Amino acid sequence: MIQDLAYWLFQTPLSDWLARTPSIVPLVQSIHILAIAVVMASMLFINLRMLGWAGPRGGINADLRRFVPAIWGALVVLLATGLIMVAAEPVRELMNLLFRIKIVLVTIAAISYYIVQHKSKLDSGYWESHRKIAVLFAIGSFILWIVIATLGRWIAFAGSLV
Amino acid sequence: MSFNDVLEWIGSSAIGTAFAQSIWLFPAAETVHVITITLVVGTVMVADLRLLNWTDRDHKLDVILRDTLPWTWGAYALAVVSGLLMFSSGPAKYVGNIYFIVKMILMVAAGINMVVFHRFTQSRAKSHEGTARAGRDAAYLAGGISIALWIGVVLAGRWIGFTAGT
Repeated sequence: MIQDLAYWLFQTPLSDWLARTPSIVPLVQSIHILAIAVVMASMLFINLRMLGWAGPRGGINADLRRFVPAIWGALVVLLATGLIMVAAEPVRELMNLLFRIKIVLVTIAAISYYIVQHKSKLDSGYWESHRKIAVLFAIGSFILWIVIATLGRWIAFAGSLV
Repeated sequence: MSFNDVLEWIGSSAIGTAFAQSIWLFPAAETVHVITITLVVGTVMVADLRLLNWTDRDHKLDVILRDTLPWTWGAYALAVVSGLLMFSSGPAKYVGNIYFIVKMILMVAAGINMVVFHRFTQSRAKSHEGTARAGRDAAYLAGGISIALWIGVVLAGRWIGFTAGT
């Protein structure tokens, strides 16, 4: 089914136009990388706070308010630019195992931030009083984003299913 | 020893040959490079947006810089090492690439902007929270220039991959 979608997309005029316009793909990729920069710095500073490695200024909630909205904004940009990249090279992306794993992991990461925000909304002291969960989140989130970024780069080199 | 001799030496060194021949060494270095560049640009953006007074207005500039700069420099060091390893795979190819040259110039400019800011402006910009207009304008300028330059670095870097081959 995904294969049918990939070949159908490949034959659309949009895909054809994107593939024939030389600068569009690197430009969209650059915007994608800049949005990843926003995610990387945001997750770094949130995770440092969750680990307790950063000072007490304002606590975890203050940093969640500083950085989680930036992650949501960046994810919207990543989705939009990602869709353009898929439209430009649908078979290369959709028919790639690493791409598919990456999408699953990004979805997990996005859900994790929804849960993090939700918990602190219900109980503003949640993350301060659940230190172990906070530390686990920080370590897991850091590994998750590094794996996601690594998979993103390796789509170009490995994992092709066709 | 001329510049070309140095390039020749790097390209024919054990590391250069390994990175040119291996199918996974280059992508591995590139992965580290992309991750560390995004960390550099992301952490720099946090500082730049504070300089522009767009975010974190309730935190002093010094505090933001103290939080972000060690991470920026740590990631930058890794980006330089991974970048040099990629460069060693074909020095002549990169030196002859216009986007590579542009990227190097933009990075030098970003470095100069940073030094100028720390040496001459930061003491005045501390009064960012206060009234000194000159200091505030200089901080705006430093933040704006820095963001523009780093966006340029990412763009030029991405274009190298498309024009110099992998």
